[in-house]
Amino acid sequence: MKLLHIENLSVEFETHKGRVKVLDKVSLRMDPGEVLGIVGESGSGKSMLALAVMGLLSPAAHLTADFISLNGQDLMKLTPEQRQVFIAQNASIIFQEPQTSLNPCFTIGTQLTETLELHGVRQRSKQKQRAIELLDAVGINDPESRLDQYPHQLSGGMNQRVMIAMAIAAEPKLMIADEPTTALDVTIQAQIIELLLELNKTRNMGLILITHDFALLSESTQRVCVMYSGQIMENAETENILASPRHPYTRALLDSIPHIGERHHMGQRLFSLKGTIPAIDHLPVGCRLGPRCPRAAKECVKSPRLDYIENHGLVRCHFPLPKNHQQNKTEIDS
Amino acid sequence: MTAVLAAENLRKVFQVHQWRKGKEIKAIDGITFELQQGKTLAIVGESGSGKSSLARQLVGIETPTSGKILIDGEDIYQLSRHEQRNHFKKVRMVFQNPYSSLNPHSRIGKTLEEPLKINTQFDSTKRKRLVEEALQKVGLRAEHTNRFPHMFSGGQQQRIAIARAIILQPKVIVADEPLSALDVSVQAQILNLMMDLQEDLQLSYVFISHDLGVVEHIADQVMVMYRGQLMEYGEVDQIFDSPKHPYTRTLLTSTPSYRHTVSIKKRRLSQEFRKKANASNGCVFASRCPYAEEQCIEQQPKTRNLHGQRVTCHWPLD
Amino acid sequence: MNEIKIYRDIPVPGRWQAFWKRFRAHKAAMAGLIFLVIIVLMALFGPLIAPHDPTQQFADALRIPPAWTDSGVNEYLLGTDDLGRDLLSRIIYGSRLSLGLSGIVVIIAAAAGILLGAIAGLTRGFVEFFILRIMDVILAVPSLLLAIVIVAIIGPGLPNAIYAVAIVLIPHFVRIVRAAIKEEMAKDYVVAARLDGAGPVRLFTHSIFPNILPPLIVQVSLAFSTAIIDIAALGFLGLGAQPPNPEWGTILSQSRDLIQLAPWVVTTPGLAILITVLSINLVGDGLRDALDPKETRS
Repeated sequence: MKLLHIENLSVEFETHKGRVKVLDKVSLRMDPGEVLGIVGESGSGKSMLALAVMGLLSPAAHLTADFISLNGQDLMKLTPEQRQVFIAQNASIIFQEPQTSLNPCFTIGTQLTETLELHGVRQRSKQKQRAIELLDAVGINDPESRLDQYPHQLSGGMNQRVMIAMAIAAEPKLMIADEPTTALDVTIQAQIIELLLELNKTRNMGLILITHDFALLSESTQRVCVMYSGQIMENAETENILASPRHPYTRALLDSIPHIGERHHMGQRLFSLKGTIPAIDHLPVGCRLGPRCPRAAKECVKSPRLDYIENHGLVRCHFPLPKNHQQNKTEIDS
Repeated sequence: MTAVLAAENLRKVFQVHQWRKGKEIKAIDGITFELQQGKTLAIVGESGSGKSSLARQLVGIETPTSGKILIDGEDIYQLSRHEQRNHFKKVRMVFQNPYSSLNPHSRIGKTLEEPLKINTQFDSTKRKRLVEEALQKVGLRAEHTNRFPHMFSGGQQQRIAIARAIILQPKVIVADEPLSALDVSVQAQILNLMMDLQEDLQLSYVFISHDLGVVEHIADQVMVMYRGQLMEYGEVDQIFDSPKHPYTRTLLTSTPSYRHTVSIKKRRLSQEFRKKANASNGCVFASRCPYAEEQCIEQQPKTRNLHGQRVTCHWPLD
Repeated sequence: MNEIKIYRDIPVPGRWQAFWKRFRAHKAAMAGLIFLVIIVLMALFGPLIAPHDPTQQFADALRIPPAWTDSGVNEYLLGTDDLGRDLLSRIIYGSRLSLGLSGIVVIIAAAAGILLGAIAGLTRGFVEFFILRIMDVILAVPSLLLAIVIVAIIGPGLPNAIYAVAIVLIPHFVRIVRAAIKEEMAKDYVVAARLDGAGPVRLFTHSIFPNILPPLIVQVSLAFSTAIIDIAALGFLGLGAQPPNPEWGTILSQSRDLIQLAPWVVTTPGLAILITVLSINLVGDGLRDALDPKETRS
């Protein structure tokens, strides 16, 4: 049984310019205990996907899907109330800015016990004991005194740990971390990722790591799913993607990050895709990467399908790169 | 050759209370560096390291509490006000968030013309020509002058901000996290643009960033800061190939792609030791340093010079 | 250098175009605007439209009801008062007074308020403190009461009423301008302008002022309606415009004894005040929505 199985999930918004599709037929599978990375730039729909799975989309959104099966239960078949309860028991999410996700008016303890109460821990003494356990589990030292502190008294990294503690309160099977470390310092980033992976191992909790940072995924994930403009562009095992990405977009993303040892005095330039991500209400015809793609050809005015490539994974491109394709050449004008 | 921009023992101290004397916060504490023409000095550090405050001193938004800033070899706080302004014109700034650094209700042509209007005697045709040239240099087109900032993408806005910075033909650009508000594929564009401009115009950069990959790519020299103090300073090869300060190593091992490039001792400091370290006047990094000893708490380390690589540590690593 | 325009150009409306588009979508505000335009036109071309002189007394036509009633006369569309003066003409002339005076009041208050607010916003310490505390004192007293007190001190009459109402309105401007400046000053583009070499005055006129205009415009519309009411109230209390001036509040107060005998004489100026204030408030609401900075961003 899959932990998460999504088939053809689309999300549309009604705007004054008409319907805008922010997610276009996204399909995903994830095994229990797996760590899945989702990479994409702003507007790729990666956060929207997380919200859709968690049932947190705004009422203005129209969601359609063949099915979204979480832990064996098709969410589409549940009533909204049932769905909310089911998701709360089986999945949780943490966001980029812990500071804004916690209520500044209440202590850590109050917020934690409230979460516990929602998950059926009613007894006061039990609540407190469990809250301390949770804080301890996420590596907060001196948890007992932290219960009486307010979010502003803790550092950003601490607050993110508190968020994680609240997220694992219900012992979820799936945790979605939406850019969990972007707002934090590098040294703290490493600690938080380490904590998430540890929880993934010790509790066999599936983890979806949403980020724009490829390097972060290389060590922690088994599969990576690359998104662009609301579509999945490539979905394959992390090793395969890093060793030899088959989609030009993935290649370009990897090449636009400076590599270790590439230094200024060598006169090198990074490869960069031209232009910017298209606005979601002004998508190009055909392949969405088309106008920016270095390999675009006539056929790219037709939308490519997400096809399986032997020994690799799924790629949405008419002209996938051959295996072990060379790095994009860095162009220097002068 | 004299450095285009240099700082000597720069300090900035803030009073916690506005009205009465009380606790002081040292935003910058004894920073010294030299930047040669056409070179890039990257400043690395976490939040609270004082790197943004340093940027503000260098462009003259804030005045340092003590120490010297030298532009083209001239100690600017010894100069008359007028001369001071003329010198600060040579050092321009690019901000982290391009949208907020552009006046939202002003067409970009006007925004770009503004520094010329204030600082030069050029007539309006010459100003227009310079604005168009600057836009072309950053990869935008002359027709863009009558648009408003919100009509551009983030990357284009940062290009405009760079155009504004180069329009007075400065020698130095201080860029405070210029990429961190941008998407990955756009970051590479801006980074390339900055490197192209550096070659074409012989610009020097003070490049503030938390992204070590970008820093390694663009920097000639690297300065690592922690709580307002210089931890390590050296050529990019020195810092990335043989980091000597435990903090530099902590930063490197915390970044996924650099995790295996250096080694660091694993050790959790006792609660008691950390408390003592925080309260003491010793090394600012002692409370987090896996190599910390009693001496680190008792005595503030001096910055020592090891073959041009400056390290503020009692026990520099090999 | 690489060319970065790849997608076709999307025409994006300018600042005021976008504002007008949003304002037009606001139906109540549009209705208010139409009424307001009619009233303003009425005030501007008053002498041309008004059938009679507002102070001329027709001895043969005392207390004639409006034209649509049984005993009404077409010559006096809204009827006449107890001295035989044509009400329509008085209302039309009154609109000149009400709108004109409020306009002057708002201009005085806004000018003083923006100046003081700018000083308070751009300085720190004693000056700012001093200005703000004085404004607090003014704000602490209900506006109409304060206006009455001021008029009582400097004496009744139109010019004094104008000063009084203007003084009462200043603090709102000061507060809005100061708060907006403080907010804008912290933004990067102001720092960038400072780095361009702009002095405080240039900073205010070129960088800050255009960006605080939206809340200021809304405040002007609110101040306008307050001014109309306050001036009318002072007139009603006999502290503002003096009879036989056809100021709306004054008409109201003079004819209040007639409420049973000739109710139209009281209702018409009251309605005029109501409609004017209502339409200004509706326009103000529309302005506030249309100028919302959150929406102007993209």
